[in-house]
Amino acid sequence: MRKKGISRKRRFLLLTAQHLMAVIAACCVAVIISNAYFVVNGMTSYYSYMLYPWDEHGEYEKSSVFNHVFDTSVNDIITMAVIKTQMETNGEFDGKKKVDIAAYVNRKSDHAQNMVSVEYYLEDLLKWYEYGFVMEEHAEEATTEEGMFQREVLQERYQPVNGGSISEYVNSWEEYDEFVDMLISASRQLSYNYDSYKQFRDSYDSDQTNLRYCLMIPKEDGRSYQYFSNVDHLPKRIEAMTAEEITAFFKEYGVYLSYYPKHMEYETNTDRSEEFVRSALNNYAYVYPEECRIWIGVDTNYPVQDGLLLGKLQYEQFMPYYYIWILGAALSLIVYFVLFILITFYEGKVEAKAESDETPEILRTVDHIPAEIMILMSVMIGLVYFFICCGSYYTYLEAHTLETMVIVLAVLALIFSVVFMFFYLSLVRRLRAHSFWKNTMVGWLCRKTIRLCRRLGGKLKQFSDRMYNDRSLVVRTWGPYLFFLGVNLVCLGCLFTNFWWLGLIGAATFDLAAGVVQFRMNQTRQQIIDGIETIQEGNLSYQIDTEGIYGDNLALANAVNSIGEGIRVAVETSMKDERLKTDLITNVSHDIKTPLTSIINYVDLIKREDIRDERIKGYIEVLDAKSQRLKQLTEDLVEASKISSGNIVYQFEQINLVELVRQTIGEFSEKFEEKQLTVVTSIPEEAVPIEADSRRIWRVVENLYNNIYKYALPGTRVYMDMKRKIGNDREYVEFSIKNISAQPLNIEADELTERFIRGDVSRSTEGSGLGLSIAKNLTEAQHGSFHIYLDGDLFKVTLTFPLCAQGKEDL
Amino acid sequence: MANILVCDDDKEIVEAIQIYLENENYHIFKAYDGEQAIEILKQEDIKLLIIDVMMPKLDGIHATLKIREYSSIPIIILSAKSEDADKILGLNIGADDYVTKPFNPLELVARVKSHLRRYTKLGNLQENNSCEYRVGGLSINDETKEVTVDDEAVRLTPIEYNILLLLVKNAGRVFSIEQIYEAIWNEEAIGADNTVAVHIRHIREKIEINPKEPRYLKVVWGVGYKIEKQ
Repeated sequence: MRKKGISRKRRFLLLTAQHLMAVIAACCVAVIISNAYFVVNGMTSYYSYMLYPWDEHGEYEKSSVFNHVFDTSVNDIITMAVIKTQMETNGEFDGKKKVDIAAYVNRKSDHAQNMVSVEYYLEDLLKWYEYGFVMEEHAEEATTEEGMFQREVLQERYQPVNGGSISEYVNSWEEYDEFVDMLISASRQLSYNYDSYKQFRDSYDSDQTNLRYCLMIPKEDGRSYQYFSNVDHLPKRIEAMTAEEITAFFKEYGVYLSYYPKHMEYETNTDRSEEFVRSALNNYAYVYPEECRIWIGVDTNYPVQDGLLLGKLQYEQFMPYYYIWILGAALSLIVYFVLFILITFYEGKVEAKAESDETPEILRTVDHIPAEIMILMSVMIGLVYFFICCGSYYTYLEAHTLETMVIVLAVLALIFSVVFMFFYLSLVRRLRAHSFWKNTMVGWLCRKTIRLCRRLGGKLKQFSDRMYNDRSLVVRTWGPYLFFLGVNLVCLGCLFTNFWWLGLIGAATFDLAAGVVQFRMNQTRQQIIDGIETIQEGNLSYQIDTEGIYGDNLALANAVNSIGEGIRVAVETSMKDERLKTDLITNVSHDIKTPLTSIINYVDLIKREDIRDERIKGYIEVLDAKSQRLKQLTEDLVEASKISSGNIVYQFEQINLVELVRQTIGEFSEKFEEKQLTVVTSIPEEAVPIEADSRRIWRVVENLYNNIYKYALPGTRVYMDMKRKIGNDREYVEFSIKNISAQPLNIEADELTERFIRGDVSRSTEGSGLGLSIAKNLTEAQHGSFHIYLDGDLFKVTLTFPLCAQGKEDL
Repeated sequence: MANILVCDDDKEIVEAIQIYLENENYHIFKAYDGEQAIEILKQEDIKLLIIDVMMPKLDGIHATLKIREYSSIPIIILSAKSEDADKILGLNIGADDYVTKPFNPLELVARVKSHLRRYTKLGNLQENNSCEYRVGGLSINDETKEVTVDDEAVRLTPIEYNILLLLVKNAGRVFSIEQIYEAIWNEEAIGADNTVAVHIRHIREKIEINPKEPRYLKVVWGVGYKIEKQ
């Protein structure tokens, strides 16, 4: 099957397009980020705000960005007011402000009452924290349950407002330690707050923000109020204004919020809930009791450059195009992934070339680098890339212009796309060429190991074969047995130790293995026995497959194979010899026949001459008889050799043996009469069908009758009996001929059917001595049996043939 | 009388055959190989050829093949090769008869006569009538009760005649002994003995040149008897 591929040029174009898409997507994202994201320097840190695309409809003042900025600012103002209560007196920093340490530290809880109350000046505490609290060893030693140790006391750099030392205010060392801890804690907290105060005191002044606020907080005495506000053009002094007037004033702003917790008065035109303001105040409940009032407004003319204005500008500028950029980014990403899939599909498939069918190498040089190294490289590059990304994020934070953002993101995306595709496509090619595993170092190691193991195994097998085969029978038999016994005993021994489970598993595995080996050996032995039986049945060319047979069995199998081969060769040779002998006899007989023809012819011519001399006539008779005998002899010789070498084709057909016997008796009736032989038959009436070659079975019977004619005692009876019989589940017919021999039969029955062997004395009479041999061979070739029985002068021949399965009625 | 060509590389055999055939008043030409035989055939008016197979220069089989290209004279192959395959080969390539060595000279003479009669008189014996049956050279006239083989009268007993007539009328069909018995004797064959077989042998001896290799009345051993359809 031919794989479809793409040309290098097209592949390059596709890849370039893909990288381009990555860059475009990155640019879109960069535009979105740099426009939707802006950072404002807030009170505690940089505040970053995000435009959300779903804010698109509606005014800026209703958008989530505005709310976000607004919330942060409100929180900042509330916090700053708290700090100011700690640092200022009447709107100015007051270093001489007295701070009750215990009350301050526990300002968020109500434990202060039972504490030691010591006041310090604010500036002393701030300076003390700057300088550091130094502890020194006290003169007396402390005694506690744990034992004695040197007590430490604070080096009192500053004294309380009322003078004296701490020890004068406390009643015990426990109180002292507690107080010192509180002192340190208070000065630390104040110091932090002072830092914030210094930095952000003015950040919510009216020239810094578009936010307008007014916080009315009750003073400690509970009657007068403290005001925090950045509204600088109130109609009159703020203290002189009533709450309603202030509310009315704030309602002038485009966005306002007024809250009076005591009467649950909450008015606003924003969507900020009362909940939000309350939770913001709750953090500083010790400063904002229920009596406080809060007004917040936003000058929607935005006269001042601040976060709200920045947000408004971004919002109005970018919001209409927000979705377009998102769409752009999404579209380029989709195209990117389509190209990705397309390239994945074509990568490693070679462009089909019409003229050549051979597939070129789809792997590139880089694909031959071991996969582990590639993976390691990709991981390392990934890490480096990650750090670069992080680095560029901070770079962006420092200089967050649109241009830098776009360039940085585009470059990053391009690098990512190129590097990722480089590794990814290599992986695809490897997988497609099925060379991933091959090119791994682990795979290489595995292959090497397997090869080594095989080689070792081969050597071990050679060694063990040599060891095994060269040993005596005793070693070969008892060695494995003792080994088996030994391993089992060791395993048994293990059972009584801590490693009993090892012994159990070992014994089970080993015995199973031994059983399998035993089974395999018996299996191969059975294979050999089957092979021997096959050869025995006459398939001499059968060879036992010695693949996977070892040891004694191999020797046995090889021996059987070579014996089988030997027999096969011997049989083939003997058959070939027999054929050659037949050919020789046939050829010789041809050569004999030609001169014999002349002899017979000329003897006949002489006989026709008018010869009176009786003596010469007698000679001629002898010549005539002997030449005729020679003729018969050559013919019989050829026939006998052909029959015994199996050089005859039989044409089997159904034959009625009864009919045959009648026909043959008819043929021989005059010959028998000539010798005064009486034929006594006992033949069934019905047909006896057998399978035989018509002419060959005639030859059998003819030979037998000729035998009777030649050798039977004249004037005797010849008995012919035919009977159907059943034996071995088969019906067969038995035909026997009995006669009395004219000569004594001082010979074994078997020898009569051997070639050229006849009744001893009858050698001088006519006949070749081949008649019975031919008859026997022909009978057996036609699936019959031929048996001669001699008893004194009684000569009996028995022929048996299997009956045909179905006899035809008309035969 | 007719000219006969005898071809054999064994001169004595040729001369013996010459003696026998000249006794029957045939004129004999002699050849000692296939090429000579073909030469003589071209020059002389030969009516019958007796040819050996194994000869120098051109053997009998190839000579017969060549002769058959232009001549239809009777050819008798005379060979020491007595295998069935040899006989079948010889008869298939165009020979009319196949006699194996050593042969009975009288049989050979009889075959020569038979072939010559058929060859020379074939075509002018068209006197077929309804009562005359003919199988090859054997003819039976049921009106005159005369049987002739190659125009030579044969004397048969009435039973022999009836058996032969039955077989000739149904030439090609095989009759078992029982069937013949029932047809001729008109009675059921209860344990029909070998009478029929003996009669058949007698018929064969009368109408066949060599009863052991019958041309007309053939024995199908173990099945029955038939007249070969020709």
